[in-house]
Amino acid sequence: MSKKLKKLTLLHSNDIHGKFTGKKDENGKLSCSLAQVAGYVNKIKEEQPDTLYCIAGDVFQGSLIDSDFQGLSTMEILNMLPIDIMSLGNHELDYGISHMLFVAKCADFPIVNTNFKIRTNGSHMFEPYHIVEVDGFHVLFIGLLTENIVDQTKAEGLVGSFVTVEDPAAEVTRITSMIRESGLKVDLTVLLTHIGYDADVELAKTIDPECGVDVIVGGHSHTYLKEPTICNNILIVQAGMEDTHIGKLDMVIDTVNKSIDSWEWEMVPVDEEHCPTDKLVKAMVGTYELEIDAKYSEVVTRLSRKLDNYGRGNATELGQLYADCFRDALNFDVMLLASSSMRCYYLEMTVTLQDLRESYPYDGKIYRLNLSGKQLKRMIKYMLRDEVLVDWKETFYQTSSSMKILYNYDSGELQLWVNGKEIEDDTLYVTGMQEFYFANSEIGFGMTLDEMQENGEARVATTDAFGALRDYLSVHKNLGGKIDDRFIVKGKVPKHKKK
Amino acid sequence: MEIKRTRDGNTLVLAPVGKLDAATAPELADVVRKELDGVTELGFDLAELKYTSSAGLRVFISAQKIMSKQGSMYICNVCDEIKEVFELVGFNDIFDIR
Repeated sequence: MSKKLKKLTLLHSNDIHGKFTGKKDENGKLSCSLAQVAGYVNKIKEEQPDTLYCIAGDVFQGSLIDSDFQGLSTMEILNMLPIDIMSLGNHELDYGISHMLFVAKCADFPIVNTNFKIRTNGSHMFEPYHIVEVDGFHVLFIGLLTENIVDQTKAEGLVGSFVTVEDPAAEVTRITSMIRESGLKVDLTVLLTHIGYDADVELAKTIDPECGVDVIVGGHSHTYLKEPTICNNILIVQAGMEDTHIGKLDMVIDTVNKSIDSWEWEMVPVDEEHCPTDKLVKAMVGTYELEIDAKYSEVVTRLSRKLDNYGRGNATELGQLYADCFRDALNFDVMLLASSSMRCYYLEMTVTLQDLRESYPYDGKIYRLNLSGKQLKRMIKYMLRDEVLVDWKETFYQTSSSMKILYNYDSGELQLWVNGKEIEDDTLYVTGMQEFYFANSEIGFGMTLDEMQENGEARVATTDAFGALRDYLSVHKNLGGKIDDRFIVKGKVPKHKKK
Repeated sequence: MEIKRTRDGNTLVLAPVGKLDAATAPELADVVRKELDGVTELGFDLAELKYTSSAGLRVFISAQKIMSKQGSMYICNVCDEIKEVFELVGFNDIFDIR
């Protein structure tokens, strides 16, 4: 069959996470700024008009510019970029499902997702797919979201109980079949996913070639690829995270046989060497920086030293401090603080309100529960499984110094002490935990909500977790220190492998 | 907020009076959104504007984005206080300030 070839370039970003301002190195050279992303996209679009720019989710959550305005700032900034399409990420729902439906209306570009639906009638929460036409060429984008979002929606109470996330593969089959039957013209099919690289590969393996999927542009796992993965004739790409790189997929498409004839892909570093700066975008970000600086430059506290927070399956200096702060501020015996709720790799000695907010951006409740020694042992044991300790895939909890954990990985023996005494099965311990992890107790602790509350209903200790932390640190100075002996794991624990 | 308008063919000059803040900036943004059809030169005369917040700055940026596709834009008669803010955000590199 003869070919008719057409060039198309797909630029892609994912997991920008509110990181707009970029950073300067010791020579003052700027990199990773959204203004540079914009400059690069504009440049390529000018050089190669048949270029589309797409974002695979998670533009929200990761900076005060975003969280202080609950994403409205992010939308205003993104509207300055020539974005052709975006798919929904899990962090787009951080400010609430209803809020995101509103914010999506503020976008000047389509936001797609096909598998996030109303449970009762199967309605799509967002536009399930969108066909972008470029010079007579029709590119179908289908948006997909990780099914893990269900944990998050549980914390939304009534609204959360009305939504569901369907299997991505089933949705792709359904949508592509519907589009084929409708006769809509499609020359290239792109899945714009926010399910993680491993899930993208699994999805590619299961999709029927009849669906006609050509490319998966992914996000969520923050994966840096050296080259695209090809699975079941589908190209899978992802571009890291936080504006460090832009993915550039140059394709030559056979429009007769509707297939990719040839392609080249690279991850373009977002730096001064590769990307001009869009001054208008820079100015727009700058106006938000001004507001945030004015509001958040106040110094909250001074720590005893810079505190490290690296790792998702281990105790950290910062984790220890925050767990202790919550325990003392809210008068618990034990505080269990999710590592994933702390969003920084370290905290400097002088802590401004901005630093504190960025390190712990979550508002919300902290609950007080009466847990027996037996329950605590079960919960801590659950936390010590490989998915947490080794793989860093599930939630690790930073614990307050009032609880000492000694775990032998080889034998599985666990010893716990609370307030200096060995834990007793029938003694009740007042335990604090964050709202999200309480609502998802089965995933985090292997215990149902009923089981967690068998010694009495959970009570709200505070409705403002951030406020409690801020207030405590503002009156207590020189806190923090090196890792102490509250969490010790002995034995041959496999080392975590960085992906 | 009072926003004086002078239209002459394809030229439009907008002169906001008083201060641009979170409450009044949306009013200027509304005018920019609704009245730029067919305008090829847009001017902001800030002779009677005493203060602008970040929200006000964003209106100018959005207007520049629109006008870069259909013509040109300038800002004139900027008081010293607002000039300082403009410099802080790098407006001198982007806008035609007269």
